[in-house]
Order: sequence, then structure tokens, then C-alpha cells
Amino acid sequence: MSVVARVRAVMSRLAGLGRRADDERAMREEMQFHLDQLTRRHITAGLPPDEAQRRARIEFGGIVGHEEAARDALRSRFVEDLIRDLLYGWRSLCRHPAFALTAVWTIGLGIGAAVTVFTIVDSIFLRPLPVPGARRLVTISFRRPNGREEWLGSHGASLIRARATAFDAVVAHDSREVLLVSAHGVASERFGAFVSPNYFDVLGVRPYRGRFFFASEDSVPDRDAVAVLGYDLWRTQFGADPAAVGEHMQVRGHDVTIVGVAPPGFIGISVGGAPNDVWLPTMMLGVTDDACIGQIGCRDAAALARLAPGATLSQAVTQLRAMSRELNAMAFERDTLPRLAIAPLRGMATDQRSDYAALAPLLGGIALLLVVIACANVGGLLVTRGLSRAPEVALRFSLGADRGRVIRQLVTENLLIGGAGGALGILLSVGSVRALMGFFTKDSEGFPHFFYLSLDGRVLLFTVAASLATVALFGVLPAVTTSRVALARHAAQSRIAGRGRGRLVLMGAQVALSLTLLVGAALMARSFLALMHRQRFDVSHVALIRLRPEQVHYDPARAQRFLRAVVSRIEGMPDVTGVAFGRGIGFLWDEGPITMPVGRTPSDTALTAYTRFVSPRFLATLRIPLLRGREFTSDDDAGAPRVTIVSESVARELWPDGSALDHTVVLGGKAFRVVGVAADFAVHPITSPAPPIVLVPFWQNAFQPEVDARLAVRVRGDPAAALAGFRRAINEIDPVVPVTELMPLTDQVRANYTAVHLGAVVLLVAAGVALFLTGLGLYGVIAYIVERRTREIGVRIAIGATSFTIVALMLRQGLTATLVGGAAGIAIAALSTRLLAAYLVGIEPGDRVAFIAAALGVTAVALFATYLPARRAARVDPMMALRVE
Amino acid sequence: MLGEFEQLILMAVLRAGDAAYGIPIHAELLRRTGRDPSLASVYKTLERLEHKGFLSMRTGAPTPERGGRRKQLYRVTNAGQKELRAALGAIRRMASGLDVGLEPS
Amino acid sequence: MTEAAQRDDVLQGTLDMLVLKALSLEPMHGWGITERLQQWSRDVFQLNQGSLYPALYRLESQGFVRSEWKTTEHNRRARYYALTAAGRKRLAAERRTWQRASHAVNLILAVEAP
Repeated sequence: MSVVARVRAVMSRLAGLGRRADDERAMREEMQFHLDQLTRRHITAGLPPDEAQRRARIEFGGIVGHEEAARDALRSRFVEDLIRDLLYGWRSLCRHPAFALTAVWTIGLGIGAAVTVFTIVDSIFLRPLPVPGARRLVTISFRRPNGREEWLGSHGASLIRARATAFDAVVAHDSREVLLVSAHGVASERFGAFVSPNYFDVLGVRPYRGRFFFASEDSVPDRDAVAVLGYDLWRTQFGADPAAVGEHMQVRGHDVTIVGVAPPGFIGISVGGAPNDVWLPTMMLGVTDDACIGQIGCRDAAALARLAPGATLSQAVTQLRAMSRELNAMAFERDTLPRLAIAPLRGMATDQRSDYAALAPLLGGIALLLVVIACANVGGLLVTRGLSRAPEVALRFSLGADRGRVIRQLVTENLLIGGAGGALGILLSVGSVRALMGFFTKDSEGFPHFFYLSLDGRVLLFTVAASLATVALFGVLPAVTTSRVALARHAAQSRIAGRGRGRLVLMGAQVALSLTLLVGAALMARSFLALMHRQRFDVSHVALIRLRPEQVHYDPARAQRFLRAVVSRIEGMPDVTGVAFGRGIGFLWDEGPITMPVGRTPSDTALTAYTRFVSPRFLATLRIPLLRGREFTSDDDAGAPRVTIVSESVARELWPDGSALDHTVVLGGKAFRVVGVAADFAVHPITSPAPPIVLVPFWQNAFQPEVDARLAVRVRGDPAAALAGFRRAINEIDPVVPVTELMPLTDQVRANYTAVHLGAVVLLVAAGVALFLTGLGLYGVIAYIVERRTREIGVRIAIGATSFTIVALMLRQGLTATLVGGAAGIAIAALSTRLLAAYLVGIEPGDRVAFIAAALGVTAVALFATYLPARRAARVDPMMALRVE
Repeated sequence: MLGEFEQLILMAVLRAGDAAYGIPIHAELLRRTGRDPSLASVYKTLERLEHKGFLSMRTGAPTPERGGRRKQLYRVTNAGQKELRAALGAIRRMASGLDVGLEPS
Repeated sequence: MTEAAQRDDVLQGTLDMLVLKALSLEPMHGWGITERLQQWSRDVFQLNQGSLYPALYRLESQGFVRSEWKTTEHNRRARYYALTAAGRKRLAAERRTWQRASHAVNLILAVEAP
């Protein structure tokens, strides 16, 4: 109380209300004195003290009413009232911490879910770039009849720039090129963009050092080899040296001059893609593989345009349509029908969105479920609270309180809850958005992806609206009805409140929804675990390294010397327990390695196998079981007879009698002797049965001289920590060769199963939250029922019921709701899990383990939530119970 | 009618299997024929063949790779296989019996 | 203005005047004012307790009375109100208004049916 009084005093002073607190006290004291005198007079007149006091109180009327009327008569200031109401509400909530915390957290969780989904959907689909004038930026592209989008091409962009007056700027850009950048002896793969000179200007970016491109530098193909560095690249590879401007560096082997540095924080416009580290003019696209400048059918860059002030989108469309024949002819070799498409630049590039297109409805559906559950809980909570306060409110009315004032105080209290819940929701959403998008921030080649996920004004507005809506719906109504109930004298309370049956039905529904979510979560979790282990070898403690001597045009002899040096060096490093390497366009999880027909004879080409060119001790290092025969050794080199290790399924297919060893197999037209049979292991993410695989020694150069290689290094400790050391060691051997895609193997695996992983985590969290809320709700309902039936329970105990009977009685209420809800939940789940079928690998949508686990989980929570208040029922003291009322 | 380069590209797509996108297709060509065309011409031919209906294309990878740039994966359609069979059949029939030093690979 | 409010206004004016009168002899606390008025009116007036304090506070904010805390003979703390000079003038004015009004009412009531 003293704390509150002190706070009030401070607030009064803040609001310039001076003697307010003292006034309050004084007024009360004054009236108490009056009341005492009145009482004394009655006593003197012969009434017993109790009676005297009662009579006095009646005659005096409500002190409360007097106070309020007096205060109202003198000063009715809104702010003062509001502050008082807030403090009153705060005190009232402090007296019921369980209710307050529950309500705030329930609203917080519901709003958190809603805001999270909104932020993610917004950043993927709706958010403009964080640059000035972003709302006027549009993309111009072609759309094929089947919906596929094509870039416009730099040539087309130039044409639009010259002719369309609806735009005051047109930018061509290819923001997605992987470039090998070498400078100061360090080579690394960077994400670069080829842009028109006005790109930076349109995005409102100023050079941090040096300058950006002149218009003349983007006019002749391949002439002006200039580049702009990203701030991070400048810092890490050039030591933030101002003299870097003017230096040279190699981009894909081409010599370029650095003319400027971009400001910190500018990472290009490839939302949902990787940040750009370096920019070059579009005329330098010859540096890449895709160069086609000046040729017909060249769609080498995307087009971005800014509407001129005063121009409308429809004007732009009209102007573009006039040019469409020409633009089409430039961009497509033949007469094709792609239409010009123009759209505001929002969120991710439209041709990249397909992955996330599935994410939005999934998250939206889950958020909706959580919001529904939260609202049901909050509604129940607030209505119950309103009803349980009816006696207090009624008393206040009988003491003469002003109806409007009481309602105002109740509403204020609910506003406090709503506000706190909203704030909590925002906090929760910040964390959860980051966690969710974290799933997408590294792809299987180690490139980071970025999104703009900050809370912006719209999100805050949305939260405020959501909080207010919740509070209005569930707070104000009970407040109004409560006052009416109270006026009707709460004797009627029991009738109006009902026996809690409605709430039990609601609980049943929540149980059903929670069960559905939990089933989904269990399915996805099982699927993910299965995926992580279906490779059938140990993916932990392995670091991946990719060497690219081919990119610096090493001949095979030199490249192989380099590789041997690297391997023996790394093998000698501490904590390294094995080094395996191999070649293939993909190592273990990419799109697919080389495939070749394999059979017993040259004409036997029915079977096609993935072919791996691997090192000695490949199987041992990756812990793939060797079933028969031996591994490759260093003797299996170019001069030696050709040997191969086949996978189980190949052996079974070609030699059903099991005699694969020492037989000859024809692979890609060449003969190999089988020296070993390995267990099946997976190379492709989603293949259910293990694919047929044959292994060929890397050093034999059986089909062509090997140049590039990928290493898998097994370490004793954390592979991520070892990466830097490996890079250093390799750079020491030969600094020119690019070292790329350094990452732990688990990262790559996970990146390939992002969808399943994400789905599993989201569903697990959602199911957890739903269960938690349902448990809370159940607890509340049962507690309410116990309280309402206290008298009945007291009677039962008095006439001899055991605590067991009482508990069972209460449990039955909760269990009925749980069982019915559970049954409904199983039915819903059985129907809806089919939606997840695309993400489930090796697990049926009707997987029994998942269903049983979910049902058990929900039942356990429900039982627990019901048991706690039921136990309290058993402890009711019959004497007290019968005296209630 | 398939041009010679188009035939080679179709066969390379068949060989590349699940990894039938620009770079591996080019690698197949290089490995098998020793020819080293520009990647741009490979892409152009792939697109032409798709337009003719001999190839179908899908964007690959459940996870976006190349920092956001997806691979375009090709597959030979039934029409394409028929066309290829016809073209190869014509060559085989023409070449059978001719002594120009052809050997089995 | 509602009817209740109008009635309150009239009553308020009367009440104010009575309170001022009650204080005209000597300072008194709220309870004392009630007792005094009851006494003087020979028990006719049971003052509506609910209106007393608002009236007192109003009069104080208007400057017609002033208050201070004192101890009673029973050693209880109570707030005593006293008339100010302005209050006395106000009392006199109210009294004149009341006398004129009541005189007029009496005249009307005295008219006999023909």
C-alpha cells in the first residue's frame, strides 16, 4: 500500500495536482469522523453498536459516493481520473496476480503469433525497399503463359529508358552473380551485381569512399573494367585501407580497377537472396558465363524503374505496351507470347518466392489457430473475472458509486491487460521472427540470405489494433454486462453465470485444435529426424571444403599436386581423424552427381548409377559401412587397373546371387573390377529408396583428368571452429586457389531440409503454446466450477464423501471435455495431415506413432491441468463452504 | 528436324540425368565430344529445344542455391526422345557399312 | 439541464445559504453543522448528508468559507470551517433573495378562489 501511495503521490505531482493525495486522505478522514459521530448518537439513543453503525452507514449513505460526488463537483479533470483509474486497475491486478499474468501472457502469445506471421509475410511479399522513394519503384519483366517470369534484358532497359516518359529512371541489374574475387592474395566467392550507373542514385546511396560509375563507363561492352566494393569486403579483404580505391583486383580472372566503396549497411536489393559484395557495370557482364550482350534473345539483366512524379502506373503500362513488340523481339529469339509485366517492387523478387509461397499459408494457419485459442481463453478468463467481481461491484454501487465511473475503471483495468499483452506480444514476435527466418539464412552452398525483418510502423499499428480489438471484444463487454449484473443484485449471479458448461465445450474445442497441431508437429519431427539419419552415415563432426583450381585454370597435373599437398597437410593437423575427398558436381547433397549406365556387359545399360570419384578411405572417414571387400588405396592410381566399389543395391541388382566381388562391371563404357561393396547411402535429398551408387578412385582419372575436389574432413571437436584453420593451411600451400563452401556438413544437410526442419520447429512451438494455453484454460474452468460448487462439495464432504470421490467428480468434468475434444482432434488431424504429405519423407501422414504420442501428450496435460484444481476441491472445509454467502 | 548441336545437347541432357542444367550439360559435351561451346550458346539451345517441345524445364532445389539463383533443370520429353531416335536412326542407317574408321566407343 | 439537476440547483442554493448561516456564529465541522441545522429547524430538516460535503468544498473553492484542522474536545481530529468576509456578504445577499422569493410565493398562495 505504501508503495502505491508513494507512486500516486509522485504521479499527482507530475500531473501538477499538488495536494491531491493529502486531499484524498483528508476527505476520508473528515467523513469518517462524521460517520463516527452519527454512530455515537445512535448508541447514545440506545442502539447496540453493530446496529448503530449500520444505521449510521445507511443514513450517511455511501462514503464512496460522497467522495466521488464531492470530487466531481469540484474538479473533474480527465487526466487525473485516468491516472487514478490506471493505478486502481494496477492495484486490483496486483491483488490477483494469477489472473493478471495468465491474461497478459495469453494475449501476448496470441498477438505474438499474429505479429510474427504479419512481419514475415510483409517482408516476403509486401515490404518496399528501405530506400527513399521506394514506393515508386516498379519491376518490369516478361511473363510466360505458364506463369514463369523472365528478365527484360539490359538492352530492353535501355530502350525503355530512352522512350518511356512515365519513368524518371530505369535501372538494369543482375544482382545474383557468384563471382570469384581475388585481391591481396586471397580468393573468395562473392555475390556480385552488374548494374547501370544510375542504380546507386535511384537507391539513394552515396559512395563511402571514391565514386560510383560514370554513365560513360556503361556504354561499351567489356571496355571499362571498374568495380565498387561493398563495405564489408573492403573492411575484411582490404583492411579498410583508403588506398584500396584505385587498386586492382581480379574478378573471375579479369583485372578490374576499384573506383569506390559503398557505405556500410548497403547490401544490394536481392531480398531473400545473398548480400552483394561487389558491383560492376552491366557492360562487364562478359566476365560471367552468361554473357550475351548485343545478341538477340539476351535477357541478361532485370529491369527496375521509378515512376516520375505525377506519372501513374497506368500511364506507364500504356507506354510500355506501345513498345512491347520491340522489347519482345529483343528478348526472345522466336515469336513467343510472353506479356510485359509491371509490378511495384515489394518484398522478394517474384521468381524467387515459390519456396516461401508455401510458408505463408502454413504460418498463417497456425497463427490463426493460436489466436483463436488465445481469444477463447481470454474471453473465458475475462468473463469469469467479471462475474467473480460482481459482488464487489454490486457493493460499490450500493455504496453510491457512480455507474459510469465504475465501468470506466473496469475498462481501464482491461486496457492495462491489453496494453501489457500487446507489448509482450511484440517482444515475443521480435525473437520468433528472427528465429524463423534464421532457417533460411544459409543455403546449402554456404551463401547467406537476407531479409528486412525490422518492426516497422505498420507492424506496430497492427499490434495496437489487435490489442485494442482483443480488449474491446473481451474486456468491455464483460465490463458493461458486469455492471448491469451487479445492479441486478448478484443474487441472480448463479443463474446468469451458468454452470461453466459453455466453457467446457470451448475447452473441448481447444483440446481438439491442440491435438491437431501436436500430431502435425510429431509427424514433421519424425520426418526430420529420419531425414537427418537416413544418409546412413555419421554427419556430425565433418567439415566440408571445396577447392577450385579449375577457376584459376590450373592444369590437372598441377591441380592434383596441390590437392595431394593439401590432403597430407590437413591430415597432419591436430584433431583431424580423417580426410576424404571426391569430385562431382555435387558432393553429397547437391542436385546430383554424374550418372552413368552400369551393367555386367557393355550393352547392359538398364541400370543407371550415381558415380562418385572418391579418395582412399572415403568410406571409413564418412563412416559408411563397408560390407565386403576393401576400400581404395593410394595404389589405385592412374597406372593401376581400374577398380570400383559398388553400393549394396547395385550389387544386388547385377549379381543377385551375391557374388559381386571380383566381377567386372562396365561403367560408362569402361571395364572396372569390383573390389568392394558398400552399404547404401543417400546422395539425393528426397529419394526414398537409396539410389544405386558406384565409387571410382579419384586418382585413377578414369574418365577425365580430375581437377576440382571437395573435401570432407572428420574432426574430433566442433567442425565449425576448425574451418578457419583449414583455410589458413590451404592458403599457405597455395594462396591463389579459391577455397569455397567451407561449412560443417550438418549445415549443408540442414539447408537441404529447410522446409521440413522449419515446419517441424514451427509446429512444435505452436503445439506447445496451444497445449499450454489449453492447459491454462482447463485449469481455469475447473477451478471456476469448483468455486461455484463449493457449497455442494462442502455438503458432500460433510455427509462422508472421500477426497478421492470429490477429485474424481471434478476430474470427470475435465476428462469428458478432453476425451470428446481429443476424439474430434484425431478426426481433424487424420483429415488435415494430408496437407503435410509433401514434407514427410519415410513417414505416412497417418503414422500411428505420431498420433499416439500426440494423444498421450494432450491427455497428460489435460489431466494435470484438471487435477490441480480438483485436488483443491477435495480440501474444501465443509464448515467454511457452508458458511459462504 | 534437329540440328547437330541440338542432337548433342539432347543426348547430354539424357546423360546428365538429375543434374541436367547448364554447367553439367556443358561438361558432358566437353568430356564426350571435346567441344567447348560457350555456356550462353548451351543455354540458348536448351531454351530453343524447350520451345520446340523436346525438353521440359523445372527450377531445381528445394532450397534456393547460388545465393538465390536457382538452377534450371531440363528433361527430355517423349517428343524429344522420338525426334532424337529418328535423327540417330537416320545417321546409323546412313553409316552402316560405310568404312570411315568408326569404332565402338 | 435535466429536471433533477435543476432541482439540485435550487436546493443547492438554499443549502449553501443554510450552511453559511450555520457557520455565521462560529466555526464548526461538518457534523456540527448537521446537528446545528437540525436543532435550529426544530428537527424539521434532516440534512441530506450526501450534499453537505460537496457544498462545503464548493463554498471553500469559491472563497466563502475557509477550513482548518483542529482537535475536538474528544481528542479527535476534525476539519473546521469558518465564514470569510466574502462569505458574510454572500450570506446577506442570499438572505435577501430568499426573502423576496418566499414573499412572492406567499402572495401567490394567498390568492383565494373566487
